[in-house]
Amino acid sequence: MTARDAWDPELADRIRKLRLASRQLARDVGLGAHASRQLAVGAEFAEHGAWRPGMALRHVDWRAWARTDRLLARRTPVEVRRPIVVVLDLSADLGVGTSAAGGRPDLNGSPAGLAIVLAGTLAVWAAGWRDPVGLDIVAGDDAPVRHLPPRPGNAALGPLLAALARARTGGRADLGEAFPALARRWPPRSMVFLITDGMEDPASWLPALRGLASRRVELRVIQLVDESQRRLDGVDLARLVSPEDGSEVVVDATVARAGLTEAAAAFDRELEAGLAAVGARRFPIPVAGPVARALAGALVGAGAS
Amino acid sequence: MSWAFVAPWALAASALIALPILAHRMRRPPTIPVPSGILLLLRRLPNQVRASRRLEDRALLAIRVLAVLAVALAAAGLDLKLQGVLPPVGGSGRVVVVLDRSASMGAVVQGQTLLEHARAAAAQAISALPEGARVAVVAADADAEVLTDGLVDPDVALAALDRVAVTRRATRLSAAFDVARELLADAPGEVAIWSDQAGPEAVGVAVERMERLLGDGHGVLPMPLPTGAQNVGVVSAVWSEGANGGELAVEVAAWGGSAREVSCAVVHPGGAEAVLFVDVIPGKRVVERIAVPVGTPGGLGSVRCVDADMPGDDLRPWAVPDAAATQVLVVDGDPGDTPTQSEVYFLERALAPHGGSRGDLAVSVVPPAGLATLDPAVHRVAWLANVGDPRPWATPLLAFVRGGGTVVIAGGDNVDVDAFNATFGTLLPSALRPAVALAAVGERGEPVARPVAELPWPLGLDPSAFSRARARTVLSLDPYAEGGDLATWLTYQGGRAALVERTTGDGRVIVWTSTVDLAWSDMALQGAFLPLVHGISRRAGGGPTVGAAVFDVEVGVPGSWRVPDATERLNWIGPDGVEEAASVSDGRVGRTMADAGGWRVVGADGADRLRILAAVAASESDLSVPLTIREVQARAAPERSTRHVDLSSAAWAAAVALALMASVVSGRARLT
Repeated sequence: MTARDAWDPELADRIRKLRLASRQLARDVGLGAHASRQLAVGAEFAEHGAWRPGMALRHVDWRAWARTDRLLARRTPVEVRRPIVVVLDLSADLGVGTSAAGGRPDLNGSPAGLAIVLAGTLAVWAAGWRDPVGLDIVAGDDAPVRHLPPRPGNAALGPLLAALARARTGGRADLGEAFPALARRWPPRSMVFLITDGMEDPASWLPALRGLASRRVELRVIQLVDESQRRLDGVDLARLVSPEDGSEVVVDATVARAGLTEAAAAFDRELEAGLAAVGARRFPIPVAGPVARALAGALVGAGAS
Repeated sequence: MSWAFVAPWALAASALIALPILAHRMRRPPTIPVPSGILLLLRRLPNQVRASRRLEDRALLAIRVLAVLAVALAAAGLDLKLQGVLPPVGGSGRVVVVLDRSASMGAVVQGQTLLEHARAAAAQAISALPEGARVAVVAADADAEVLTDGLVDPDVALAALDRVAVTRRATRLSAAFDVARELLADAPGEVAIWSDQAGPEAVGVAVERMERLLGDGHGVLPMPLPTGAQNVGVVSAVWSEGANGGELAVEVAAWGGSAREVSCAVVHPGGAEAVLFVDVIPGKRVVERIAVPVGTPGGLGSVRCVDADMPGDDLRPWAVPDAAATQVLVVDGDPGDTPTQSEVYFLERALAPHGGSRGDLAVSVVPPAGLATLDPAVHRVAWLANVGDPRPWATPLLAFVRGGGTVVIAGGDNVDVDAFNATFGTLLPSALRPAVALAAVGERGEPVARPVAELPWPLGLDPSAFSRARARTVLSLDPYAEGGDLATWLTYQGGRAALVERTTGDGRVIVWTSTVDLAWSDMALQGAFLPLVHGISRRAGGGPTVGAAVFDVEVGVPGSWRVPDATERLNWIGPDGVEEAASVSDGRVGRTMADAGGWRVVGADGADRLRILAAVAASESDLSVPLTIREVQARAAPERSTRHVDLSSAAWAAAVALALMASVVSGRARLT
């Protein structure tokens, strides 16, 4: 929280609520540290390796020497700090729903609010394990800090939550343009969580992700799925307007509903396949459903659709 | 009701209903946009799937379509033809008011009789006639009576209405139409009829007269009367012979109302009374039977059912005949130990099934010695059944035949043919000869052939019924020549005579060559046996001649009846027991009965000479209306009862109203 935030009681209250909601969700997720691919000498046995001169004798597995007459060194995995980057899509499409005071997304019940809470939860989760955590906000209004580089510990958490609390939805994300610039800032071997509604043509932005694999950046896309909108709940004959560009579509829900279900499923399959092609994975999270289980799947890399 | 259009081509404008339908099928996006984050998905849908052109605002569409149709109907000049709608009375200025005064108009509806309703309505109609109108008043039942001096001023006609009273007669409007046609002979006029038109003949017999009236250019206006009349009437009461004193069949009919129980008081000729409960069903006739006590004398009785609606038809008299007319002497030549073994067991039951106390045959069964009582002044027929030797009673027998009596000789083992030939001689159809067998023992015998000619008495059955009878043994006859006073009525198939008759003056000798029991023949078991012996006996007796004759007459209809002795001094005795002298003219007495009941014409000795059963015609009790004046008029002159209603103005008004309604509904939909 910055000094300016402290003088804005409404914002200060929102930050507190966001921190509270994020910590609560992180506890609900209830996961330990993320797995590391690095192996080093440690307390937990992983495998044997040849002992070479120069290595400390305490690494020699004497019991193995007694059995095999060979000097073997015990190798154990080490828990390493892996940079976590949260990319939050706050394009205007996510702004559909209820708003809280100040025109910011309602943290409880709106798609954008859920996206912010999910981002906060990821930050809390990473900070808890002292992993460096950074934030990139794509699109959105009133977000002066759009890039927070990964920093370890609680030092990064405060500004990050403040930036999330201050954010408003707006504009277009245009992931195709945003990703190349952002990816250059991400440290190698970092883990990137993209929180988005995915409502952009996959062909327009997935090609921009092709360079991530070479930098060993792991991308996990958390897609917020608003089933209520997909079912056209509460819509009869309506003129639907895109908050991003103001374009309109007239829809007769009684006849379009079945076709829309099929179109949404086809879109999800297309997005899934496109992400897989660039080494990324998609984790859908329902806006109106239970979040903790789906988020846990995204954190451990399991349960991708 | 039917439709017509002044300008049918304008109906083509109704095709304009396609406009609102098309307008409503067009997409009408809401004016308030709804933000949505899934436009990417929606754009992937085909346009026709995304927003089909379905009908919107069906209620508004219906109003708009109706508005267009109303305009089309208005432009086409919609003309509604209402059939059966009559113009008001008095348009012609010459009106004949017909008031039905028949018995059914005495039915009480809404606290008043139908005639009172009719009189009040007629008075109102006459009072409302235009200046200078002329009116005649006709009271009608089966006849018609003009109560005014032709066509008169309405004030005079109003006074005449009060003279109309309910009679006991049936409705037949033919006479009323004839009278009305005469009254309106000078120029076209109207006949306004207040009638319930009830009864099977009320209108049906007047169709031709009414068509003639309409053909002369006159109008017939059946005026409305309250409905809901109901009635219970005794439509017949008939005594018939049976066990004990016979039985009385009472037929009660009901019209209108619901099924109910009606109590009826039955008074027998002797004065005994009984109560009869009848469950009546509207529209149906119910027959209830009640036994007449033994010993009930001949005379008049009555049945009266409780009914407050039309009391005139609730009473109906009935008659029990006096003792039988024709005395028949049956001589049993072979009495058995038991009745069934008697020679005449079957004959006696056939002649008098119920004892013969009331029928037209009074049967006396005697042994051969009883022939001594044979009296030409009393008896008309003598049956000699298997009598052996009639010679001891030859004198009374011959005197009986020559005096106009009939002797029927039936065969049997006891018959001495020589004795019969000696007794009757030439009175026999032919000399009798000993019996001959037509079949061997154990065989059924030879059947009777169909009568070669029509029998001289009514049989009431198919003559082929005789062919079921078979005889095994018969008396034979000397050959005889057919014709003249000798006739063979029945033969057996082999040609032998079965029934032969010779006429001598008014007397007859008939030979039944077989037996009247089952010894030689099974004729007594056949259905033809009873009509055969009845026919022979009735023909011989000349029909019922003893006792008072009974006649039916309709109340209110003059009647005259021939009396047995024109020189005798006679008196009328009415249902109330009041006696008055009867005047005989040309051997007849005449009277018009004002009320239902039994009337007697008695002689100086106090015995009945005539019995008159006066009752309201059953047709007048009938409140059903099988045919109405409107139906006749609709068929004969449909234009007279058709009213044209121009609905163009109403259609224009409806179109404007619907248009306003559409604008209101449309505006409200826009606001919401």
